[in-house]
Amino acid sequence: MATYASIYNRIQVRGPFDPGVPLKSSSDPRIQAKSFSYWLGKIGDPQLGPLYLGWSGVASLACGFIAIEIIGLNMWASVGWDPYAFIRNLPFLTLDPPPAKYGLNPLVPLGDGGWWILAGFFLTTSILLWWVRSYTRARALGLGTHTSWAFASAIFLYLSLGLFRPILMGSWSEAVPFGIITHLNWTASVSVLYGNWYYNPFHMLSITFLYGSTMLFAMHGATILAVSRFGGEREAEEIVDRGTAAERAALFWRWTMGFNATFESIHRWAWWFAVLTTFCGAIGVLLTGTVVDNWYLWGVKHGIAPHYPSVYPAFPVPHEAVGSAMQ
Amino acid sequence: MSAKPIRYSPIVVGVIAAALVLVGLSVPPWVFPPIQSQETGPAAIEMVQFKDPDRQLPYSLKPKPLEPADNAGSPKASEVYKNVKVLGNLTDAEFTRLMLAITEWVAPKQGCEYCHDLSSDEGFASDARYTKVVARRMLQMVRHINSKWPQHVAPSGVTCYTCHRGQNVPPWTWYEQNHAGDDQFMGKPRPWHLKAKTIRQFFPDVPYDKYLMEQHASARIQSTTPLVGEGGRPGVVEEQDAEDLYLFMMQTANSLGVNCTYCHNSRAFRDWSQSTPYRWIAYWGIRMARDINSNYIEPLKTVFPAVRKGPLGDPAKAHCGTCHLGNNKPLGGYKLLDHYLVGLTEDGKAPDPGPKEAILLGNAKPTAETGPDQNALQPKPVAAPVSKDAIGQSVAPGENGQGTTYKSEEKPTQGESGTLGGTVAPVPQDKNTMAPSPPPTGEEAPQGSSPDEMSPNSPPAPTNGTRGTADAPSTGIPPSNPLPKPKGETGGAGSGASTGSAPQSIPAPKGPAQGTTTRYN
Repeated sequence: MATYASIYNRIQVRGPFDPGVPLKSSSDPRIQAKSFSYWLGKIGDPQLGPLYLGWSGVASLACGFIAIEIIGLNMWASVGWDPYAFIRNLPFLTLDPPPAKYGLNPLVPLGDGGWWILAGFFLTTSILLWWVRSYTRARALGLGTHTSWAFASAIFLYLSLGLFRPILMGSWSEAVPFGIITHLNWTASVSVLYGNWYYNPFHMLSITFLYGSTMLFAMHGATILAVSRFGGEREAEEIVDRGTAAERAALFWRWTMGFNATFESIHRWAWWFAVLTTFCGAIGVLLTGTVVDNWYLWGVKHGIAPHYPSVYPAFPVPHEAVGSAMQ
Repeated sequence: MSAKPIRYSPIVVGVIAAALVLVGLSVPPWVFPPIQSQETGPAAIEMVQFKDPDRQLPYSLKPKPLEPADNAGSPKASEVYKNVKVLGNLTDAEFTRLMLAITEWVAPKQGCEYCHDLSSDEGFASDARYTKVVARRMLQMVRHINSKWPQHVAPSGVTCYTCHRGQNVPPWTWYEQNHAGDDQFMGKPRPWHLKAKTIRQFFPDVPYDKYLMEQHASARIQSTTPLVGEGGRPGVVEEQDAEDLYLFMMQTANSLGVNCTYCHNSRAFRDWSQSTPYRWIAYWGIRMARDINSNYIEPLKTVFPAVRKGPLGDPAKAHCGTCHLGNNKPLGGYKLLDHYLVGLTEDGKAPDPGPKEAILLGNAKPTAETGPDQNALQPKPVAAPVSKDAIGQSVAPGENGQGTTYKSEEKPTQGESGTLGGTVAPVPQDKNTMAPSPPPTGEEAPQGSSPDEMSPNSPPAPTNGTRGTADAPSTGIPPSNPLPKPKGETGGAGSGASTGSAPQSIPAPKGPAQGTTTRYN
């Protein structure tokens, strides 16, 4: 066990090939790739295969491939099919949603955003099929479906940005473009357009859970590595049969911060933090522009935006500059 | 004792890692400390500008002014030359001096013949070259800017060199770009600036024509009410408008070498009461750019040859960076114009620094208050100590250190005849020359809304001789800087308009939540 004391993995777990549990009768056959990889063993299990694809996996990969093709070929076309320009400009290339004049019309000319709708359709289908796959595989192995529901939370945020909120706003143009820089520009401009998203309480919660997730993950990972010399890597057993590893880990946190999670509850903490990150983010997205028009002023109204002293001399505000949007 | 086999992989990994670190340190253009920072806002909210003192801005060479002209006995230029339409009333000596200066500023390599077709029979008088026609219009533009836009260009004013920097075409310009259309394979094309040094320079020029021509889109995209529907917004502001405005504002920031917080408190971009006075200067600068783009540059479309035009057939137009070129003050405020006042202004006077000084020193008074005690005697606004540093950088205070009084004018400044001091006498512009563009009017007027434009609920402006400054807040927004209230009120308690500032009440701290206990083993 001493090898676990290192901060990097020095163990190559090698045993006889493990074919896994028997399949249920409703399953497709597995792909019987069988090999071991030294470099995979550096970061995880060295055994490759057998793989399970199934109908949902095949369909998901196919739809995902179509979506990536649509996005990539549109980007390539936008630089005149020049391969060098395509690679050099890749961070700046984009596939935009239809302009606002089309509203929610699904039949948009391909060159004017129709490709975006198609790419979005195939990408969404691919993601949902992958969710189905995560659910059925968990069931086939007799697992709980915790992974699927956590994934569903992330999908909810994705759909809120690209589907639900545009429908609530009545326009595809509200959705996020496919593009590296352009989706960042979308983020910046949507924040400014609706006041200031830092005053969106669901944005605040989402960030809290995001940062909390990273902290919990670091605490938990460190704890388990630290008590592995006492057999702590057998977490699941020590949940119900607390050995000295679980006792020492618990005592460590009680001594340092006065409270400890248990070997079981820490995993619930982490699961909820991760799930609530995307779930709260999605709520914040769905409220923006549909209910709340200016998050900064919402913050002022509810007393969460502090007032700072004025440090500038008074000056007359130009006439035209006063007034609100669209008046 | 058996020798252990030497493990090579740590050595290989170490060498590769060291090489990567070396590449990372040596290849990118790092900016090394010290970085100067200047905070311009209330404490601890990071309204701060950063500056690398070692950074050399492009085209930052400052030309020396030519020796003053000897005007004694010099005839007028119109008597010596033919076809002098703008500068005919200058003395020949001053005229020649200015022509030499312009040559140095705009066409140092090509010389006189860049504009003048000396091979023709008419010689200097020939208008055969398009550059001469353009130069004449640009001369009128410079005179117009210096005399009609003191809000933005005072005190240094502009010369040809402010934009041209020794180049035939000003280095930083923009053209109209194609917008999205059904005929395109992809959405709107974005011609990114791929050789940019900073992320802001990557952004495309597409939206500039939405904001930098007199037919412009509204930039007021943020709602004035917290919830949807309260403000009676007829429709949604399009996400695309927000991105266009974002790109345009990034252009401004990049052009001035500053970040958002030079003008705005970025937590509430639209709120003038939290903005710095520089936003006022930039506000007029944007309108000045619209004026010159629409009235001076765009009409030259028929004059320019195709090689000088953009993809849509328009001449290269001005944005903030055309003059600023990365400096918050073009050429650091170098006062080149002072040596060429006669030719490069309409009235022979340097731009009036009064309006800017009044803004920056806090002497400008809002003409209308919307608070409950707007008729009460208001204490004089005092310039806050933190703004002094900023002021010193931009406009020198008046000689007595008190700044100047900023009086409102109904119309743009009109030229007056008077003596100028120095070597030359100002010469009024000949009425027969091509008239400059009409002064901007209406909402575009550099100064002045009349009292009847105020909010109906707001009483008329005080007329006790302190006739006000420029524009009154007219839709119930509080005065831009809440004046000290006698009681310990927080600022910004205007009628229904506290949207921009303080929370109505700050809840008292409640202490730790009751009833929560932590069980210890």
